[in-house]
Amino acid sequence: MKNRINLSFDLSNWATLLLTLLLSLIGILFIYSTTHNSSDSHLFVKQILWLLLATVILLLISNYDYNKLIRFAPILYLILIISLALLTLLGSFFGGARSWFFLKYLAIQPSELGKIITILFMAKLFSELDRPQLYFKDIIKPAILLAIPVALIAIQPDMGTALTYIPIFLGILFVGRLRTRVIIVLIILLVVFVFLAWSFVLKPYQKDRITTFINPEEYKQGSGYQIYQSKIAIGSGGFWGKGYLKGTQSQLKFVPEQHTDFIFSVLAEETGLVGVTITMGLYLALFLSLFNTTLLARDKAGLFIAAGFVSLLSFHFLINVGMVVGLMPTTGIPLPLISYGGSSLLSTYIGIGILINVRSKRFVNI
Amino acid sequence: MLDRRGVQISHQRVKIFRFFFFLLFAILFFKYWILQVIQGPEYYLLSEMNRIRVTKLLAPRGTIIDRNGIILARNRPSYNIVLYRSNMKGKLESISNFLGLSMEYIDERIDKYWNIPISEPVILKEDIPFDIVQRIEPLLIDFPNLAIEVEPLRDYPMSDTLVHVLGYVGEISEGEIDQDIFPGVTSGELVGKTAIERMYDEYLRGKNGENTDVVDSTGRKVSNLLRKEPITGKTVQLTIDYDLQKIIIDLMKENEYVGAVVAMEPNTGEVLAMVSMPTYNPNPLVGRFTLDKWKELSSIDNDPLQNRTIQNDYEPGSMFKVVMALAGLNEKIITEQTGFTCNGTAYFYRQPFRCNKLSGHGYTTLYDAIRLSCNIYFYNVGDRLRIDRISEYAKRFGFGFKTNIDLVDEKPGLVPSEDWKQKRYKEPWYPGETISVSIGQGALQVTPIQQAVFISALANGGKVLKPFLVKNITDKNSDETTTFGRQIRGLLGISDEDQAIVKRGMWGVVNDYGTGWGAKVWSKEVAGKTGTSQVVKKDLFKNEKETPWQFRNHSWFSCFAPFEQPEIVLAVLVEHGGDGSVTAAPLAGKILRAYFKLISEREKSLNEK
Repeated sequence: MKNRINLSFDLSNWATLLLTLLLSLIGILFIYSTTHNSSDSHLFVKQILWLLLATVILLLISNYDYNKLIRFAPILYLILIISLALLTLLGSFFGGARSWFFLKYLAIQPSELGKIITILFMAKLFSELDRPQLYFKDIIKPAILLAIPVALIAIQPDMGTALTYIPIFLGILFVGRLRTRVIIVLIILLVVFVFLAWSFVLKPYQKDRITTFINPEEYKQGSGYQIYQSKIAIGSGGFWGKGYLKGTQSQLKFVPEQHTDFIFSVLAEETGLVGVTITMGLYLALFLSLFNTTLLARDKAGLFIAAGFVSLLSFHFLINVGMVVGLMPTTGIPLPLISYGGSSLLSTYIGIGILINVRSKRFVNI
Repeated sequence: MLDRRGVQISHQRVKIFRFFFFLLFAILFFKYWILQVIQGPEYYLLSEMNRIRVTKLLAPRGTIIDRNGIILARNRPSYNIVLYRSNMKGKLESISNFLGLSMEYIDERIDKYWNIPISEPVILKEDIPFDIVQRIEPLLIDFPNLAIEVEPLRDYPMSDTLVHVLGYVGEISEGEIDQDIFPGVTSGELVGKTAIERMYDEYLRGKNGENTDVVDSTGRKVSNLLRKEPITGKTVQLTIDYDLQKIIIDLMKENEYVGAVVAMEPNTGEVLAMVSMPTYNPNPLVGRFTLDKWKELSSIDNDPLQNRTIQNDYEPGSMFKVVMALAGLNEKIITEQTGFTCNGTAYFYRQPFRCNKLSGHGYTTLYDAIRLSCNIYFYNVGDRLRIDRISEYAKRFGFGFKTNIDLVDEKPGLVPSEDWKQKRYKEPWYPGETISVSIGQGALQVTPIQQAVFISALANGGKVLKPFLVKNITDKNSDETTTFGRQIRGLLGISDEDQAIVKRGMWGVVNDYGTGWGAKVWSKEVAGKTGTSQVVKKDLFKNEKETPWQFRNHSWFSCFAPFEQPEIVLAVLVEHGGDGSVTAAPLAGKILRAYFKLISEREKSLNEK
């Protein structure tokens, strides 16, 4: 069993890897398109370097038994908590959020890698519970353990990233057979929480984003401006698109945050519905294979890791692709694999690497 | 290890999860299809509007020059601070602080131009001095909504000496836009407001160009898409001889005269000079923010805005005796030899009518009647002609109608007749009124330009011409020139002999110790006729000196020279100048002396070259 390097890749795993790489390459194309005439024109090179690093790590991780990996989860979790706590104390400011550690040229966002750590940690916690169904009391301890990093990220303040931890938890709970009545109770609690958050916790700009989402036309000049311009970019792309590097909305910077959160608007403007269909098609295939992996997991740990990761990734994807057309509220959530950002890319690749491993272990019985 | 049941539930949950994912995925894809295919064209338009900024390139107005090429109206660069209104929300406060303009003022400006396309800027501050431009320009980088634009602005180098001819330009008014007086001109543009600038606006205006820039999201220019250069307006050459105009203006100013002078070339109808006093400098009125200056001007005494040569009519007084003489001769009522005895007073219809010489002129023939301006003689002629025949002749000679000179708001004057009296006052004409009309009084009203046209007809052998101010219009781009020439409106219809008799009398007025001796020029022979236009009924004041200025009579003189081959006709009116012989005739003399000196100097310098 020791001598299994790469041979464990079946056709489906190769397909997953290929789809991942294809989407990353599309990402690099549009990072170039959105930055080539700005002071950030070197970013696509950085992303290529990140991609190379991420690919190597993916290959390594995919060959490392996830059951062994999961053992490190508590230690990794502790490191995460400590680094997040450090960040809030002496983190440097970046884009209004203190979430960046500057490590020479490459910056790693602990909250990004923290998602993978959280997935592993939660998967470990729930897989250790030997129950056919989950009861409310079973989720209290994990919920508290989840709340710690989420709270630390939220006070940075990076509410968008903090929110992405929630689907990880929910995904694992759902697939981990949480009782239906508890789900209903949780939904009620969520509504109450949203209400309280709206009344007491959310900052005005955060409220703005939500009201903008509800009624974007009214905020054309203010916070709805971004969505309005993004919609113009996407709509004006039409069926065939305006051509690579020829999107007026993108190249003239009408679309905001275009190499990160709004990169899909640029893709839609420059390549039209054709490009949107191809890209979304690739995502669809990737998600199909990841859902498949979830269904093929050989044990609870594998199942929960896969469920947590698919939940995280689908949340990112749906929120981002929905946000740029105004169907979802504006949150700082990037499009996985395509948006610029090394740590986001890295964590996605690690996740996919783990899932490849989960799939490759499907016939192995302990 | 794995319980079958639990795995089943988990897998079921994964499938439920997958189902909802694909459902949301499908909804999203559908949304993209709607945006890009159904609403695509609409959004494409929006994206084009976003990136394209069209600016109007204002065409410089055509130059106006005098008959010798002296520039009378030109353009100078004017620097305006303009505001682009796209994405300006929230920025007005800082703009207001930066420019030191109140928010109310800025709002007012923006409101005023609500109807111009959003891509076109609104002018916030006009014609700012160049040193301020230099100071502000580097600071504009922080205000992408602001820009400094250069606009060709009208400049009248001759200041107040020609304003009644040239007119001036100003911002198009809402009324003018509503009535579409200047097709294609939009809010904020400058148009000719009066006189030549107005009448020839379509030639002077030129064609605006258009500049299409691609701008980025901050409103900064990225590149130029299309530039259509503006086409400069056509050059208009006037018939005006500016040197003569200046001579007249200076003479009028020197004496502080209120009045009007028209100088005409009698053979063509070209207007050589047109002076109306008081006058004003049009330069401060050019542009957009001129309401205060306007109010100031209209409050000045004696209405400088009025062009007295065409927009005011006066009694012709004794100048009308020339019309009477021509009519009398033509109707065979009198001959050159016919004489009447003047005792200073004559009775018609049991009313006394006086001569200007209370002691009387004695037995007077036509020559002396004109030369000395004897009233009694013309009372007799008028009484025999009767009003309708007088009216008919006066109208034939160009009175009572607009001359149709190329200016706006000309008055037609008034020539009374029996019909007119009936219509106007519902009363019959009294024969006694004819006696007053015979010496140019009563209801009779003429404008200085009409008088000049009439004297020109005498000078040119009988042709009643249309006076005109524009010699030609040249398109500098194609070098095409349209030339305007003599237009005959009618004929005097008086035999050459009869005309000669009357002209001889007019010669006597100036050269034979007549009433117009003050107009005598030693080198040339002048022929003319004085006139006095009554302001109040006679005898209200004892003598001229005791009469307050505003009640003094208007002083008239009209003439042509040289007698044998006339080159110039003058109609001179000095308001409240008293008798024609006292003020108007000597003024005409001074003008003519200066004019002939000017001509001879020009000839001399031409010969030297």
